[in-house]
Amino acid sequence: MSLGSALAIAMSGLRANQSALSIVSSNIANAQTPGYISEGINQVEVQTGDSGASVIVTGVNRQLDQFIQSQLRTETSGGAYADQMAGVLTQLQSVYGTPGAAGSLETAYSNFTTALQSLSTTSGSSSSQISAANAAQSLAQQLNATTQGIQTLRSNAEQDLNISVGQANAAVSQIAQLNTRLQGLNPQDPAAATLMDQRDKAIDQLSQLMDIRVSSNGNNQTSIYTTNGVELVGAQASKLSFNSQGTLNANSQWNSNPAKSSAGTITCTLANGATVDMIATNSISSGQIGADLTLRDKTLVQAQTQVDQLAASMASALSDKTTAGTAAPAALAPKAGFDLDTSNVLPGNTINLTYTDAATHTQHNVTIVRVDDPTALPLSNAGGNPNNPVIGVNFSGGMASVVAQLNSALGGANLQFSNPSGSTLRVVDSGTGSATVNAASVTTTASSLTGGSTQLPLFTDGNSLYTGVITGAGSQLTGLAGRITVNPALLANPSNFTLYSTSPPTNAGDTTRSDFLYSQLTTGTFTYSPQTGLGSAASPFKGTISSYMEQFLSQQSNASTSATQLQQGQDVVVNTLQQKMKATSGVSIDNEMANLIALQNSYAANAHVMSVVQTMMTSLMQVQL
Amino acid sequence: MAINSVGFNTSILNQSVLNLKNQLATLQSQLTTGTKSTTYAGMGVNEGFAIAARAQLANISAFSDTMSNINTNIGIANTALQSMVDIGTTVLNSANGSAQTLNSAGQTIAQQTATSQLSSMLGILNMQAGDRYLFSGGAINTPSVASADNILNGTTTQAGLKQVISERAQADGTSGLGRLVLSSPTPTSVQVAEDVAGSPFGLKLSAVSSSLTGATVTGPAGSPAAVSVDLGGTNPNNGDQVSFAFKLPDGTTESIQLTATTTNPPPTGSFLIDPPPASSTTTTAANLNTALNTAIGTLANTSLVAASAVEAGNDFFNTAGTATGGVVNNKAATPAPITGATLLSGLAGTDSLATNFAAGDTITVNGTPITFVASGAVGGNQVNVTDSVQTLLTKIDAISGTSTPSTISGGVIALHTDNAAGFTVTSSNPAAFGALGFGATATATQPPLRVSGSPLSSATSLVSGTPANTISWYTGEAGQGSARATATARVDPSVTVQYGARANETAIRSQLQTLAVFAAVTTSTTNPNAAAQVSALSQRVAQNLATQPGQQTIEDIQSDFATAQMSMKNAAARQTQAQGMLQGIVDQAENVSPDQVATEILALQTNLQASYQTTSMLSQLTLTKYLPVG
Repeated sequence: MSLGSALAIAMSGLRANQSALSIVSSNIANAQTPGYISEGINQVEVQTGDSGASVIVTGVNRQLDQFIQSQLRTETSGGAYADQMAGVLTQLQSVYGTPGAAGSLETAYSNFTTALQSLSTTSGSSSSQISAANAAQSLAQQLNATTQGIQTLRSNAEQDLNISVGQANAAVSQIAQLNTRLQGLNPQDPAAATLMDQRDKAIDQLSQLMDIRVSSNGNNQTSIYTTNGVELVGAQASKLSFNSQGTLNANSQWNSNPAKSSAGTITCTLANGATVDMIATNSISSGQIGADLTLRDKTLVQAQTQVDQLAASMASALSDKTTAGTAAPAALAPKAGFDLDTSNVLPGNTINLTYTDAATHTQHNVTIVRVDDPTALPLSNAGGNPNNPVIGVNFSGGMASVVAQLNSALGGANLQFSNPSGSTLRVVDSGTGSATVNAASVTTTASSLTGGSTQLPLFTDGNSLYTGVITGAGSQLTGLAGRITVNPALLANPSNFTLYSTSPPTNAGDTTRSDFLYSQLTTGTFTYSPQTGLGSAASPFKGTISSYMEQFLSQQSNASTSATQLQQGQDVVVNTLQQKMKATSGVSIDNEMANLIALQNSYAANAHVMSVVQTMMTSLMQVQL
Repeated sequence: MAINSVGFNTSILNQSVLNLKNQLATLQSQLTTGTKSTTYAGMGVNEGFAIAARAQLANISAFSDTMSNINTNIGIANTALQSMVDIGTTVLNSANGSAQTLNSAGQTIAQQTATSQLSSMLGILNMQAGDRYLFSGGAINTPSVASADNILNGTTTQAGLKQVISERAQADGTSGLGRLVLSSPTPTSVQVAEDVAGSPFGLKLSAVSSSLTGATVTGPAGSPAAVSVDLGGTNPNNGDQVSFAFKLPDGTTESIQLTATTTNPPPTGSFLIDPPPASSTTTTAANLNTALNTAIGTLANTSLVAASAVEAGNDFFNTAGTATGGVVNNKAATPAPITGATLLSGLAGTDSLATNFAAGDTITVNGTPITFVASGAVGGNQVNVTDSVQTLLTKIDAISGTSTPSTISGGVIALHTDNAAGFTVTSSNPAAFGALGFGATATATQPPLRVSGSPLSSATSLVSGTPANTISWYTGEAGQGSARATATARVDPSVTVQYGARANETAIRSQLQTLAVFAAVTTSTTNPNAAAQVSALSQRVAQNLATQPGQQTIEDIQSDFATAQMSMKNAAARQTQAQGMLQGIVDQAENVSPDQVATEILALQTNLQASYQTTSMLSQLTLTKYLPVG
């Protein structure tokens, strides 16, 4: 052993100390840097000469707990999903207004029924009639405003999707880039640690946007997949794109068929050039993008359907008149049934038929809807009660065609349809006792304000009647709440709130019509579509209009409350994981300070060794032999 | 529990402190607004009940508005009705009591009172509650009645009550013999006959009786009806009497009693027995004829004047009408006019209608059918084909709701109705209906009724006046239904009240009619019968103003209103109770107790302060602080 080697060992100690100091200082400096993983130094002893060992720094070590990291990423996407859902549902609550205050649907509705009730004592007063018209108008406007609010939220979701997909794309391409740069580096290289920090940060960002699976291989490469296996980053990056449709309205719906879709879809172009529709394949189910998709295509669509159904039930309750069929002539015996006048059946109006099948003793309620658009036929009965089928019939081909369509649809049920004259539809049983027609009626929409019946088209769909027309493009119900208005003819002449006939003229004190309107809106019972989220196709929700409104408002408020609770719970989970992550992988200033003192001491000791060696060298030089 | 320093990890602490601050903000807004939240979601799980309860509260408040409106209307109507009762009493008293002296205009003080009370009664009937005419039935925007001037005097083209009275007076023959004809079929007899069979005018013969020795009285008989007194060959004794009873147009009866006397000249109401030696019954009969002529002339110019005016008032005001058929015979071997006992169907040669009704036929009265059945008819809507005409009339009356039963007389059926305007009777068997004397549709003559024919003094029928030639005193709505049902309002989901009224309801109409007749009649002061005329009129007015048994009174209308008010009061009491309960539900779901919120704020404040304190302490705890600077 020579003094020279001691000096060299002390020198290596100083070098190692300096490296360690630089790591400590970078740890301290980056203590608050998001995504920074605390680093430690890797140093090994190296044999120098015969005896003694010097120290050499081989690299840095990232103190990362990968289990916590992957758990955190999963929960982050869940947290982002819950945040977005809770935020938007809270906004949706404000669309419904303050409970019981002006500007809420229930208040507008109550005001309208109150105005109708006051007509019962002041039927002839034009001020009462005008205030009823105003109340009806403000109810219609409230429905319009609610629709607008819901559609604004959907448009926001669409825009947010556009931005989020852009961010996801940026993250994906950054990850791919960093993968490339890391390819040639030793994992222990301090530069590699920095790049890995950056890559982890990009992955964290991506996990906020969508739910992903991350896998790393030994070559310091990371691949990223969606939960159902679409590769986002492999050897190369895939490219996400979103064809934003800008502002959405109630009729803009996403469809897996691009020709029919009027809302944007997310497409992933893989490295090999193939494309995948991320929405159709359900590739994104969580994260902010997942939340936006759920909101845009499910939650808010259902909220819109609920107000549309409210508007439709109101319009139909006041305008639809059901006329029972007259018994078919006795001359047809043993066949028995009913004659129905179909002259006023408009597209969307229905013929209702009840018959009992003798073999099974089951009563069937058949609803025959006039559907003149052949592309909408046949109507789907999916999920409905098979005993209560809905049959679409095209009336545009005349009565002969109607009879043919009905006979082919219901002939198997031992019912016979015919057209004795004009627009009369006759339905009779086969006369063999295998089926009995119990009742038949026609529901038509009143088109005149003074047609002599109490029904009137009080609410209209823009300038046309609301009959519930079904076409290939969808139902008239969709977006009705956004278009509903008070019949302009009624606004021009509010006295028709009480005058329902011109010949003979209705007396000013006659409250038949206003009483009818009031009782329809307060005590009339109707059936609501299962698409509103209430009831099921087999047993749809039935109730008064106000109970329906109460149900869907309660349902929405519960949805909002539970989304907020979920969000709070998820926040706690994410925060706890983050805390754990920081505890294991973050920078502890106290630790670093202690390290600093140790390094300081170690540096001083090494320096002291050098100074002692120097003294010894001097002594050696002064030896006089 | 993990304990962390500030410098080490701030996110959890941040989150907790933020949470506390958010809670504090929520509590503050609760304290200021008094409600849990401003969104449905913030109200908690019971918000569904609150929404439903609020809808019911809105209904209740609408109902209570309705009730207060109706109460106002009923209150005003009640005041009006009470005033009408007072008016009736005032006029009744003055008609009974006041002096019967005529002033220069030919009216008594009582008549002048009636004129002014008529105006005020018409004013009351046209009173509005808000913008609603209370006595117009369903036509709440139309005044109920015409003005007093129009009703009494008419317009340039339309006749008023005065003209109707004057025309009727001529037709009733008040200045002659009351449409009676005196003759002597034989030299010893005197005959009094109506001038035309079936005419509604003038005096009608109702009975004759005699204690004249040796005389024969016959009738009333024949067509036109006649009575005769044949003295034969024997003169009556002094003091023997003959008495004639007459029916006046207003339904009252008067009689004339003539006494045989030997006093010459005979006093009023007597006739001279031809004294011996002649003792000619022919001369006595001539004397009887003269005395009868004078007596009938006096009767026609006194009581008949008053009765004619009262009946003219009825023609003008009454909404009732009559559908009169033609004379029809049965199919007996010798056909005779049908009677109440005639059967609706039967074999040839029996007392049954000329054309039989058969089972399955219907007669429709104002839209309600009566069905003929072979036997076992039940209820008011079926009749056996073997029943009599009278049974059928009773069933028709039950449906039309008439207060005057329909009659059959001399083969002529008269179907009465209280509301002529919409009265129609039809049948599915026109031939059999024709055998009852009616064409395809039986309709009633429509009031106001006017005398038809010229000269008026020989008129034999009444016709419907038209709006062009006669004033319609009632200008409101006159439908078939009940007057009360013309205004109905729902005051509770299950309770409706009826509070309509029409000025042409019997009680109001008959009082108005009596007042108007009393006010319209003027009597010539130079007429020697003036006092008797006025007295006869006053007597009839007083009688008509007094309560008639079985007829609607104004108090009946008031008690109907009282019933409506009572059911509203009950509904209101129920609603008040429900309101309290529903408000409780809303409060429970949406309101917060200020005490509780204040306590929660205090607790939060403590928490927040502790958190701040801890944060501040933790921030001091770092090694850097203790490292030497140099």
